[in-house]
Amino acid sequence: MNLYEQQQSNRRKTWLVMLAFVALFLFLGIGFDTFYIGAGRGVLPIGSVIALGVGSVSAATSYFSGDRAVLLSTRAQPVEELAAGANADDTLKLRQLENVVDEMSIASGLPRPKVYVVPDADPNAFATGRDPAHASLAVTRGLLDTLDREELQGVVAHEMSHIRNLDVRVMTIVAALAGAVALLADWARRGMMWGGGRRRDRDDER
Amino acid sequence: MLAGLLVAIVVVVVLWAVSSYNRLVKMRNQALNGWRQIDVQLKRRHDLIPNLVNAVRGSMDFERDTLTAVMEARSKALTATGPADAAQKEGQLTQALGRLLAVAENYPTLKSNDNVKMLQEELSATENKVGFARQFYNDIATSFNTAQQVFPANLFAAGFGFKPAELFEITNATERDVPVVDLSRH
Repeated sequence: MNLYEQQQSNRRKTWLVMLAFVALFLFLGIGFDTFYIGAGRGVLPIGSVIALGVGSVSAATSYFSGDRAVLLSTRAQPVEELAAGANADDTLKLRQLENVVDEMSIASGLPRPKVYVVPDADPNAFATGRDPAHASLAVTRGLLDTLDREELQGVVAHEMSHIRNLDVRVMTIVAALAGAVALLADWARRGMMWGGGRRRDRDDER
Repeated sequence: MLAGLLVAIVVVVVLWAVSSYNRLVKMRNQALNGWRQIDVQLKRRHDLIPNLVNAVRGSMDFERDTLTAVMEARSKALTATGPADAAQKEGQLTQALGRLLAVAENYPTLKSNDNVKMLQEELSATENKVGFARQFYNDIATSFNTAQQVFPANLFAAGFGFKPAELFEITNATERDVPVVDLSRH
């Protein structure tokens, strides 16, 4: 599979994931209407409508700002911010990271992604964003401490290839939508605990 | 019928000529832009070198020859015109710089100096950027040259003033050698 086929397949996967997500929400909404409100009573299928709305909005949000959600959840800090308050040794390390990213963006012909450092001792790295022009690349503190310049370059090159292949688009959306599903599961669990299915309870508990 | 066919053929040929001409113009601009990317990095390297030489001068006073060689190679590189010439002169500068950095390894005070460490990082980053920008430029320049040389574009490319782009490459075989550093003198 060449680069363009890979990009094409990732674009397709993104749509599939988003459609499946909206379908899942719709399914849950229909279920809500059927079991809580009761189908075929001539009332507006309120659950389905809300579910469809919430599902579409969260899918769209995850497409446009899923990268921010991912970066926030890992408490990643922009490298420029870190460099402002760093000591001499750290300044060198962070500068090295920026330089390595610059080098790899020249080599790949992509715009330079925003660079973040995650305060985590485990060596790891990830890239996120919806396309190369809106991409971010994060490495953990542990990775910076463990690897030398050449090794770091290898890791950054790998992450740049994820950006170029649009793998980041699929993964960012999957991560953000999985978060939304977790949220939904949490709500459902609470709803079950309080309401069960008796309409009287649901009316005054909420 | 025959006239219609002739008109159709003429239209097709004209359309083809226009689109190939535009394609060549686009590629020429891409190659120029690629060359500018290299030029930016080379300029940055030329700016960094005096800083490095000044930072190490105090501790490496008796390495005068090495330092002079770097500064001389730098001023020669500044006068380079065009990719092929620049590649040759920059190659010599890389060699002189490599020798300086290798010799500097023998000075513990320099090795632990934050300023020198930062300058070294910037220089090696710039060197890498030159390398990657060169790869990128040579790729574009090669496809530009190929587009001019294939039939039938070769019939009119020169007539419209397209010239093959010079590649940025090391032509002299001796420059490919790793610089030899003789440490026995110290």
